[in-house]
Amino acid sequence: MGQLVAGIRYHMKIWALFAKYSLMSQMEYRSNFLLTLAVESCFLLSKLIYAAVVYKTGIQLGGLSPDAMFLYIGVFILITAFYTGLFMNNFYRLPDYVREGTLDLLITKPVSTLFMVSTRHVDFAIPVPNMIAGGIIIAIGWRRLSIPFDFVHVAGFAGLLLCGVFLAYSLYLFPQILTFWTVRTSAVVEFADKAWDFNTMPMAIYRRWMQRIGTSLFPIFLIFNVPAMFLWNQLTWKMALWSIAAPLLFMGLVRIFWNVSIKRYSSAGG
Amino acid sequence: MRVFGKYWRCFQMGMQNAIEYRADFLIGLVSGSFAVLLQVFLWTAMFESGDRQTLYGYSYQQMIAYVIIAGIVSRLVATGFEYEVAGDIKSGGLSKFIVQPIHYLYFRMFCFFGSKAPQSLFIFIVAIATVLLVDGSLHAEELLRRLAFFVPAMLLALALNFFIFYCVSILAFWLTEAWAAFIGLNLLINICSGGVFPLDVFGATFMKIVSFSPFPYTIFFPINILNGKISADAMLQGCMLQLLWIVVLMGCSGLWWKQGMKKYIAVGG
Repeated sequence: MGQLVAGIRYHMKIWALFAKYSLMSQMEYRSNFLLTLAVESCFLLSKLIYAAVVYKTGIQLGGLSPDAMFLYIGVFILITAFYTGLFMNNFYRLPDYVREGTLDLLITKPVSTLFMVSTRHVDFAIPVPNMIAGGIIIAIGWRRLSIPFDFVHVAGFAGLLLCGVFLAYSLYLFPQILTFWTVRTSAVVEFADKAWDFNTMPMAIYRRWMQRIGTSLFPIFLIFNVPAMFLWNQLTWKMALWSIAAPLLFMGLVRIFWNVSIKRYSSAGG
Repeated sequence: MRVFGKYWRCFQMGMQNAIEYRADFLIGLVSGSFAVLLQVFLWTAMFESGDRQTLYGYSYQQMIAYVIIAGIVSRLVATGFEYEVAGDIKSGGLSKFIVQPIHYLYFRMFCFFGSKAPQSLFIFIVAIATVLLVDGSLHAEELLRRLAFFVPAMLLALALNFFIFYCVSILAFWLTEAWAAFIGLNLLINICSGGVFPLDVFGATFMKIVSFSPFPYTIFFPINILNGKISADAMLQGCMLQLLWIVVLMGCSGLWWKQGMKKYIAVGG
C-alpha cells in the first residue's frame, strides 16, 4: 500500500512539472493562446445553443425539467474541459510519435511510457471557457433544483465526476493506440470524437437500446450522465457501482491493449 | 475559347480530386450523421414529451426533414479552400499565380465547383428521398414545383458560400495565423446559415438581423424551398437576393484582394 502511495506521489510530482513546462511554453506564444481561447469559446457557444433551444420550449425531456437539463449540460461541458485540457492533445500526438519514430525518446525515460505519452502536454487555453461555463451552469442548476450543498452531495458529485474523467481517458485512448497497428487513425478518431457530442444532451432523449449500449459496451453515457443523475436523485445502486467499476475495468483493458500494441512499435523514421 | 479551356481544366482537376478522395467524403458524411442523429433524437423526444403539433413553427416531419437535409447541404456547401489560400499567402505560393496568365479567383472558383460536382448529384438524390420519406402525401406536381426552385437555389447557394469564404480567406493577408479566425467564423457562419438549427428557432429579432446578411441564403433558404415552407413569390425573391449577394461579394472580394495584395511580400518565393 505504501509503495502504491509513493508511486502516485512520484507521478503527481512529475505531472506537476509537465503542467509547469506546458504553461511556460504556452505563455511564450501568448497570441496563439488567446486565439485558441477564442475558438474554443465559439465551440462552447454552439453547444450552449442546444441548451437554449430546449430551455426556451419549457418541455420536460425524458422526465427532466429544464433546470435539471442544466445539470447534465454543465457536467458535459465540465468533463469536456478536463478531458481537453489534460489528455486530448496528448492522444492526438500519439500517431505522430509512432509515424515519426519520436516514441524512441519517450521509451527510454525512467517513467511509465503510457503515463508519459498520455499526460505530457497540459493545455490551459482550451479548458478555460468550458471550465467557467460548466461551473456556472452546474451552479445555476444546483440552486434552482434546491439540491442541498452539503458534504455528501459535493463529495459524491466530485467523486463521480472524477470517475467520468478516468473513464473518458480510458475509452478515448483506445482508438489512438490503434496507430501501432494501422499507423493512421484519423477516421476512427473522428468517429469517436463525434460520438462524444452525443452527450450534448442527456441520455434520456435516446432510445432504450442506445442507452443500454451507451452505458455498458461503449459506456460513453456513463461518463457524463452519472454525476448529474446522482444529484437529481435518479442514480440506482447498480448504476452507481458500475460507474465506479467501469473506469477501473477500462483502465485495465487499455493498459493491456497498450502493452500488447507497443510490441509492434518498430521505431520508424529512425 | 482558350481562356475558357484553362478554367475547364481547373474544374476537371477539382472533380478528379473529389473522386480520388471519395472515401473521405463518405466518411465525412457518416461521421457528420452523428450530429444529425443527435438532433433527430432531440426533436423526437421534444415532440413526444411536449405533446405539441408544432415547435418553433415546424411540424415534426418538417423539422426532421430540415435536420437531415441541413446535415447534407452543409457538407455540400462546405468550403475548406480558405486554408489553401492562407497557405499560398503565408508561404509565398501566390507568387506563381501572379506571373502566370491565370486569375487566382477563377482558379479557386472552378476548382471548387469541380470538387462539388460529383457530390451534388448524390446529395440531390438524398435530399429528395428525405422529403418524400417524411412527407408521404406529397404530390409529384408539387415536388417538381419545389425542385424547379431548389436546384437553381442550391447552385446559387454554392456560389454564394464560395464568395463568402473567399472574402474570409482574404483575411490571411493581414493575419499570419488565420486558422483561428477561419474556425471561429466557420462555426458562426454555419449557425447563422441555419446549418445547426432552423433560424426561426432563435427568434424573430435574430431572424430579422441575419436576413440582412447573405448567410440564410446558403442553407436555410434552399432547405425551406424543398420543405415547402416558402411560397412561390418568396422563392423567386430569395433567388434574386442570392444573385444580388453574389454580385456584392464578388465586388467586395475584388476590392479587398487588391488591398491585400499591397501587403503581400512573397515570403519564401
